[in-house]
Amino acid sequence: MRDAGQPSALRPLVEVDDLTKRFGARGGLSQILGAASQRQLTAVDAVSFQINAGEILGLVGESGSGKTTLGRCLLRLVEPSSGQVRFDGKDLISLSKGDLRVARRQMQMIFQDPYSALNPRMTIRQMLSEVLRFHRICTDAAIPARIAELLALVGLDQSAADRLPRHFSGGQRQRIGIARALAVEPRFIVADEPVSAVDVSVQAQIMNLLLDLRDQLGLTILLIAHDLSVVRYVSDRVGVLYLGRLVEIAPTAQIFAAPRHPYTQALLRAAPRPDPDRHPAQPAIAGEPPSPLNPPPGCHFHTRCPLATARCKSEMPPLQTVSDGHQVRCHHHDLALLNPSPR
Amino acid sequence: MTSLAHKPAQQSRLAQMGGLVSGAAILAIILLASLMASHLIPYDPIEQNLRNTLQPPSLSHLFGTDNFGRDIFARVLHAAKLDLMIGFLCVVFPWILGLTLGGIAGYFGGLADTLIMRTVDTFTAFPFLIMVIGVIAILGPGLFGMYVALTLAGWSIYARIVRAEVLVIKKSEYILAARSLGYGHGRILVRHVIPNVVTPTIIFAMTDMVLVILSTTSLSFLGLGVQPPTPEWGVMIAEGRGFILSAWWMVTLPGLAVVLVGVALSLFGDGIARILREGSQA
Repeated sequence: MRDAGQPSALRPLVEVDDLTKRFGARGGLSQILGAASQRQLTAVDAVSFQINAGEILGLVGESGSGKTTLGRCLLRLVEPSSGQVRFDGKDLISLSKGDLRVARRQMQMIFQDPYSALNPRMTIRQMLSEVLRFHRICTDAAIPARIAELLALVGLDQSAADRLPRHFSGGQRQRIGIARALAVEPRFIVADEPVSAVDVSVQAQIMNLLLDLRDQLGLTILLIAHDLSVVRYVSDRVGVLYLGRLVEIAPTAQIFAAPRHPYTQALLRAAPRPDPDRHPAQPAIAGEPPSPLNPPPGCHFHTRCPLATARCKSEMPPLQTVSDGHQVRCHHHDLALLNPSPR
Repeated sequence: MTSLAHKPAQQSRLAQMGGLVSGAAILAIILLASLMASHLIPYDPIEQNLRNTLQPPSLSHLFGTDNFGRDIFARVLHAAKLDLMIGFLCVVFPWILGLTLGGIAGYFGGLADTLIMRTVDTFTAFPFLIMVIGVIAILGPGLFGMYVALTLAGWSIYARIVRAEVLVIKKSEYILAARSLGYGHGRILVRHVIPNVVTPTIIFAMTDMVLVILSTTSLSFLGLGVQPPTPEWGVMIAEGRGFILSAWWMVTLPGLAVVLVGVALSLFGDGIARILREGSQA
């Protein structure tokens, strides 16, 4: 299921091919009782996409759609069950431990919860010097200057260095987390819902910071979020995940103007809009997402899809290219196009 | 952030500081007096004076003398050094062992966890004193046997506390961040996990120390720990047992020393524990 050529002339920095992660009960009682009692959860199901250098790819999905697992698989914080991740042409999955340590300098993660992402017993200076020293980023003498530089880069005051995380607000902690990620001078950053745990007023600041850093440092960013509004203004392209499968991926303008997958359309309808005259006519999507332990056959979305037919219940739709750089996993993407677009 | 909780916190801070300070003061005085005992009191704690036996407390012998004519005050003071040292070391050794093994079990999980925690279960299955006496029976009575026995009997609780805390900490995102930075397991465990789990173990250690000192004196009383003629409170109480009706001071005054140290340690430990708890909450 290879990507059919990106519109951009840029070389992809990250290539994900058929990446799959299954979680299963392993060892212990279930092993003694035999495989019959094993339940497998496919968190990431044969996902393929590419991220071009210098690009921000937004990845959207409900909770349980596998977006966090996918992000962690890319950095091998979670070992994928199968599939390939190539970074700058090199296969990450087959790297040895030592090579992986070197590779980790190239890719970093920004975490969801700024309150648990920082070691509460370490001052910001201790935290950053440990990173700089461990990866031999600079000489010991140059460490204070580098820390000052990092703090300035993320818009924190120099006095922040000698304080413990508990003295900072959520937004400031998120900036510290970003500074820690930047300390190794990475080329690729996975930002796992970086603003879902901070105040709305701070969200825009953090997103702008990510944009600035991309422009300043030429970063490539995978931005994971659970709603489209967060990724809309910063992403170059957006991918939509549903129960571990990539159902649609397209340039941002395209996906908002002409979404082709019924799920993407529903997500767009569900986004709250600050318009008091507009009353939600009906729930955008009926029902709950099915259990990932026991996903529906065929197209995972058929249980909630207004366009579902018998074919959807039995046959998994392939990821089809519908226009330049726009791929969708739906048997009825032509019908979906006729469906009134939400915006 | 804490403006609502400010007032009661301040009040209780005063109360807890009172306990902490008085506990620390009593301990400091006892320790100091014990270290300078040979300068403070002209009597040797071991040398016998059979012409001066069983004297009641007086100005020349503050706590009276025992059946060998030794000054009980001198012996009580000299004993404090030994008892406090045993109390301290017999908490530190199990603490180190429990922290290491509990940390490994919680962090690595799997086989290491199973092996260590089943061992912990085995050790907890024995009542504390039975275990201690059993080990001493194997190694023979004396200081060494007591150190080993109290360490073996005490470490499992620390391992349990540490493992439970590590299981929580290792899921936090800063551990994931440490892994994504490429840090090795040793570095993550020592620099990022352990510093965040020590607080509850120290809080427990503060109460444990009282228990350990009581066990030390009990063992010596039974003749399993410190051996006579070395001055030790349990030994002294055991020696005075036969004279409890005729010379009450021989049993009572060393006994009161145990009570005083126990109370002081409790006050001190409570104060420290509360400060640590507040620090970790903020």
